[in-house]
Amino acid sequence: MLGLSSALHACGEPPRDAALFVSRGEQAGLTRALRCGAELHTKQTILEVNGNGVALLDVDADGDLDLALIDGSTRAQLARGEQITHQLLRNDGWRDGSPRFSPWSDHGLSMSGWPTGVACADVDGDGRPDLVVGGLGQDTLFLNRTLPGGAARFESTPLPGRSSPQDWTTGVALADADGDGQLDLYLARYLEIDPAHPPLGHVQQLPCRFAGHEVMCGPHGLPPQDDVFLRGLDGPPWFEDASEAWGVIAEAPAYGLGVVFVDLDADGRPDVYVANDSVDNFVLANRGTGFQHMGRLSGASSDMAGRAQAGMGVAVGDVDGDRDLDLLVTNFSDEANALYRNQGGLLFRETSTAAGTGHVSRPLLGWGVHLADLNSDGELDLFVANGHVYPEADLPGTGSRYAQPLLFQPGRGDGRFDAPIEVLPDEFVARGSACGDLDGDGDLDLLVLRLNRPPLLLINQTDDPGRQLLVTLEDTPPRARDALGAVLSVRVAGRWRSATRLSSSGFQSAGDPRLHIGGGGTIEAAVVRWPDGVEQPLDPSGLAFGRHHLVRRGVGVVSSTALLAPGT
Amino acid sequence: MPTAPPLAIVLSLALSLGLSSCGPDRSPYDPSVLAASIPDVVAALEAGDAEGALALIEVHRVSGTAPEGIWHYEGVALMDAGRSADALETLGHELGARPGNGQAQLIMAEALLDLGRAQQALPHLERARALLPSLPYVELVSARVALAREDDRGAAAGFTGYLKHDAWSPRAAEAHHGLAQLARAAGTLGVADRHEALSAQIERAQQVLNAQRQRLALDPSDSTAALGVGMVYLSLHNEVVSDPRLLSRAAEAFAACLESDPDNLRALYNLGFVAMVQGRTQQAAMLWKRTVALDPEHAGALLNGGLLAAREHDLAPALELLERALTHSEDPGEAVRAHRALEQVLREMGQEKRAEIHAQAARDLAPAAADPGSPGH
Repeated sequence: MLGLSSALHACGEPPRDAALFVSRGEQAGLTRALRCGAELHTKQTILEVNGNGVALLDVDADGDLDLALIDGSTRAQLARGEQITHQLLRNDGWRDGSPRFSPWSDHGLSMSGWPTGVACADVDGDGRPDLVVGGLGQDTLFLNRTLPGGAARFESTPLPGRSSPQDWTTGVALADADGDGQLDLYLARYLEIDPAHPPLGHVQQLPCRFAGHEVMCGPHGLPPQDDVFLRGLDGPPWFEDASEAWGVIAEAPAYGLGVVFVDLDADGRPDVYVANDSVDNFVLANRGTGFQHMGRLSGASSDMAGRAQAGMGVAVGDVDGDRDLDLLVTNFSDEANALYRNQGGLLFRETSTAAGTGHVSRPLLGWGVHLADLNSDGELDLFVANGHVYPEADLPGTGSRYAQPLLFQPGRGDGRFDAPIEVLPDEFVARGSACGDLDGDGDLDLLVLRLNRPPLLLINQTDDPGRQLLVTLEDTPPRARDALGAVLSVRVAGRWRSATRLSSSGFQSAGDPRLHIGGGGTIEAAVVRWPDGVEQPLDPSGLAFGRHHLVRRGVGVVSSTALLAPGT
Repeated sequence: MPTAPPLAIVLSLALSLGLSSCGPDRSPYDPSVLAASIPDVVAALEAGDAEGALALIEVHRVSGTAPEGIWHYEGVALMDAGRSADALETLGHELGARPGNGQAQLIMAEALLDLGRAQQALPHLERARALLPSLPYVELVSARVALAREDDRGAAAGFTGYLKHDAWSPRAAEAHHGLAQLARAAGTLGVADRHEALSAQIERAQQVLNAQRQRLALDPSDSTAALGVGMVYLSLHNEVVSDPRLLSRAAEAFAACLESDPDNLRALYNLGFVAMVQGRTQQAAMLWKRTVALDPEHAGALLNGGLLAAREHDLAPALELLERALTHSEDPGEAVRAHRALEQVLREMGQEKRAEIHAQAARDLAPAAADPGSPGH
């Protein structure tokens, strides 16, 4: 059988001179694996294979991004009711060719159950980034009480919306759905499984098999769960269950995984997109007082042939420079990474074949996904963290492998992507990932989670702050401060480049809260579309590559700092 | 996940076209002539075991038993294994030697499309169309290529053309979905909605079929699975397309169910419905009679048996069955039909007063009720 790498690089050897990233996890201090069930090659249940989440956030307001690594559990620990304490790592800056992270202790990020996904935003409006962590057994709000430059401290509040200890939240996303200034919360739910008595060998009389090999069971045959919508309140308990009132309950519940909460039709109301495993994806149109399931009419629920795919992660970005938001959904092996180009009015067209994202991804099973300008050429690129769910993928006849290469495809700016460029020569059982500037030079680094192994830290080697623009958007009362869902567009050499503020994206993870636009050049025009749809032109002379700007609604640029190459 | 049938199965449709088996360079060539010399490879492909087929091809090569045209089967296997880039090279060898191999031309077009090279797929597609003019699958591939090239008119022609030949396979679901995409782009959302609904319905039906077939593969006497298969075919016939082949398959499945479970009420009742639509009214009457014997309160069988008897002017049994149907039916639609039929029967029996009571009851329930004379599912 030919390797996956050869499938990825059909036209000869993969380009090796790019070296866009170097792996620095160990040097940076990321040496602890996150728990997620049994060891890597002995997975027995679906509970143990989806992996964990990560959030990039400035916990202590010192201007750099710290890491919250969401720890999972094991079946034995779950049965014992053990508390899970997440890893919270302080960014100590650049030293000896690598960023450094050191653990905070007694930070308060502890909860019960089996945590999975995370979103990050300022829920209580105090200017500090809070965390929402979902999981099997409990969903928890962690309010950040850290003083600037001080030791990390979070207060936890269990979230409503649970009817059973087996409710299993995966993807989590925040936005102000009803425009009341309080952030609302969407929880994607996966499936019903009894961790103490998981199905083994067969479920509903059908054998659990993959390419002829016996594998762990699910999701097919296991009951899917309804997603949950929690409306934000202006004080404790901060959220109330509004799933029914907002029409979130679908005719047919699905196996929800990746979720984004963003205004896809530019009507000033954030919509919801959920990548569902093995069944149609959800497009929920926000009508102001409730959601409407768009079903297949959206064109973004299935593949080009109308088949439901096994959706995992979802990324949002304007891949064709038309200032609307397109979607990229990662799927199972033998399925394409689906690119849904926005046609307006919440209608999409699946274009993975023409876009070049289809054939390269067929041998791969994708999770974390980013549409971001990683090579700083001004166009959004595609990055996907891959790895199979079945250890048995290494057996003959599967056409795939358990460990898989990371996928990087440079974007062309017209909705198409170039052939993959090798990121690292090794292959991994990767899962969620987060993208952001971790070393202060403005380019985008990657934190990639691996199943049962320490995370990968991929440091971007572009090292040219002059080609990077970072922007923090700040909305004003009575609206929520974080401007979740806002879109910044800048025009350079006649072409628009855009970035969107999200609380979470990809798979179970949250990236840099600052918006990144790469490529350098002279900014000719700039505009912010705030979450309520109001467009605010910005004075282009106040914006420049090589800097991090703070932009406040109604005011424009209020402060600006220079980006510096690492170590300077 | 629902999966499309392997390419090997799709292309086996082409084998019945009666193409000449061998010929000079550009004359039509049918690769099925090799099947007899590599039956193990063909069997593996038809079973969906592409990797197994590739391994067997290697064995044939090493042992010197590989026929000259084995490139074709290797190309099919590579495509089924998702290795389009490798298939491209293999099919290049095949077409270099036998450009008249229409199937290889078609697979080559698919491989190129898979690799995002839709423009390069066009000449292969055109050659395939010329060599295999009556193969519907060419229409579907041509629609896919057109869609990738954003040639919406060409895509619409391809999908529509394909649906003329196949209205209920997984590929029909793809064609409906493709037409929905095109309708969305054209702003005709109602049309898009209808195509998406059909696509989803077919896909769901195929999912259920796959699951039930898996169960039957494990246990051929699984009557519940056989019943499920029959119900899927019947629903496709009733809700997607009136294709007599669907009725025949439904009948086969219900009969298989009854072999293992002779008293299965749903199988008996629905086999009766199929027999009725196929024009075998006596058999339908017999099956519904047996249903009622097993379940004297089976409103559907009572109603349909009564309607059938009324149509045959067998008035006394019709009266009895319809009155019993009325007693046990909980469905207003069924009740309307029973009242209407009773009105007709009683008029024929000269009992105008009683007939009028049922006529009024039918009017009260549903003034615009359907024709009472047709037994329904």
